[in-house]
Amino acid sequence: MKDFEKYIKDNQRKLDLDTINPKVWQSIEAGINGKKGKVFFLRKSIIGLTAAILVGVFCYQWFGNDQKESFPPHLLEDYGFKDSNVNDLLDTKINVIRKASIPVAYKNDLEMLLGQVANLDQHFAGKIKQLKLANSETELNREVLEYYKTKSEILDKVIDEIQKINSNEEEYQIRSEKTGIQL
Amino acid sequence: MKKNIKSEVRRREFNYRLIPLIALFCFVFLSTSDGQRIQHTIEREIPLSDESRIKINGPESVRITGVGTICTRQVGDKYIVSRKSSTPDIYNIDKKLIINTWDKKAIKQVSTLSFSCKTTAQEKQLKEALAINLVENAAGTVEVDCELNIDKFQLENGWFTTENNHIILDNGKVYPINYLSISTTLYLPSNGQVTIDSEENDIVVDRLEGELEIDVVGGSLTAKEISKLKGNISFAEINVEQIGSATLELQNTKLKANSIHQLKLESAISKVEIKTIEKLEVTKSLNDHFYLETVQAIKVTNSIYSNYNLASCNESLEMTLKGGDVDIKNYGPLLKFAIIKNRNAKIQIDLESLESYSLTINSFDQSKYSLPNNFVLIKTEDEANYYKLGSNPEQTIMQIDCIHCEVTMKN
Repeated sequence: MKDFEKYIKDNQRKLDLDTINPKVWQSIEAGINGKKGKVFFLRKSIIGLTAAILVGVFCYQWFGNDQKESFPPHLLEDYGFKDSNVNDLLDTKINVIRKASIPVAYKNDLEMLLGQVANLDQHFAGKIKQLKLANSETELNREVLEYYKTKSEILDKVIDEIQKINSNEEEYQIRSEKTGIQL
Repeated sequence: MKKNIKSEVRRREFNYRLIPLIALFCFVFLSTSDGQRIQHTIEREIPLSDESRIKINGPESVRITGVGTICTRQVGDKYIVSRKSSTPDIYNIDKKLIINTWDKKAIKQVSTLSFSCKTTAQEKQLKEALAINLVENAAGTVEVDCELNIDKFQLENGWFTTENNHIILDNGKVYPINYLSISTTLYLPSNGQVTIDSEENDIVVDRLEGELEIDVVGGSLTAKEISKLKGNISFAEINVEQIGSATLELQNTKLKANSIHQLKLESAISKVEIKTIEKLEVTKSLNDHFYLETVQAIKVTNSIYSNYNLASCNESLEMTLKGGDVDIKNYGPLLKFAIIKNRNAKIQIDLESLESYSLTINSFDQSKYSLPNNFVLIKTEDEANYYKLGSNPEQTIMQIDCIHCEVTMKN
């Protein structure tokens, strides 16, 4: 046993593992990382692509259908609309209001009127949800069109008033301080 | 022989394939059919004192809970509960509430039921348990519940559980049901004091000499005659032939009446159509449309972007408006005064040709006036122009202060 211990002590230096040159480690590490990165990037792109397709399909189903609501022509006529693009029509009106500038003195009254649109949105959202559940297409169409009609009338009223106010300001050369309308 | 065996095997194979199909058909048929429904009518009448008040909770005030899927929706006059929109109805409440009035000092509730359970015994038990709660409380109020003595409606369904639907009554007892529908008719004393809370219901009232107080969201109220009406109404339609006096708050509502004695109103984006009204006071109005055939006196104190169409005004007219057009077809012969304050609007007034008028116009209002030729300018004083038409000493006094308006008067 003593011989063995002696042998170990004598050859301790030789038995110790040599430390590996750091450059070797770096090159191995770079190699591993490089390979891993490529695979991961490839996986990432496939997952991303699939996710994008799924999101696209979902958005088309969810929002696309809403935007392309189709109403029977006689119903559209009943509610005073010329074609099915009612959403576009409302968006156009909202944009006109957004871009408008009015005398500060009229801001509160017009915003109060626009505030009624929010009440309208809230009430009809609940009602429309119920009718969607009920699968009652005719009633749903009527309710949606009634909502669009009321909303459109409010927006028309706001636009009319803005035009009246501004044309009078121009005609009577009044230089009031102007502001935008908050929607 | 071999051929016969083969054809026999084919026939049997076909039969075996057919069995699951038949079984599936039977299952679908049984699961969608409601079985025989029992029709049952319950009535209850209780006497009332002179001070009694009646509070009616419109249909659909019952609590609905469940484990699994539940689908509630309203189609026309029906409020329906089912597991899914495609599965058979379980609970069906008639949202049309008919209120008749009579000379008796009593209230009567008549509820018509249609129901089915899994067994005849259950049906019998349910028939005996359902009852009308009509009790006058210590405060003197009788509360009418269109959902009888039902406290809660409970659904239970799922992938691994069979469908179990229950109603739980006020006394805590549980009754399984397949289907239940309720519709209600009420009989109230004609001079009763009534309060109605209603959401998406269609309420039909006969004649009420007492006071009716309503809180209505959606749906409609139709009545022949109401002596005193007080209400907060939104997204609804009100059709009343005759109203004594009313104080109403309307939002996105259509009010149609044949005759009103006195109305105090606050409203927004509503349409008000009245044939004859003695006195109208509008304390707040936002983007409303008024169509009034004959008005004795109208006073508008705060109106923004509302339009007023009056076919005839007979006594007095006082309007303080911010925008919104005014169209008066005919000034009645007894009209004493008319004061209109407005801005950015069109005002059109048709004058009675035989009457005499004195008209005052703000000379700095930058408006366009179109007056009949026989209006004579008397004087200009204190930023005002004074005109006169006719020689009768009893003149209608008119005062218009409209900034940036178009004012047209014709006779």
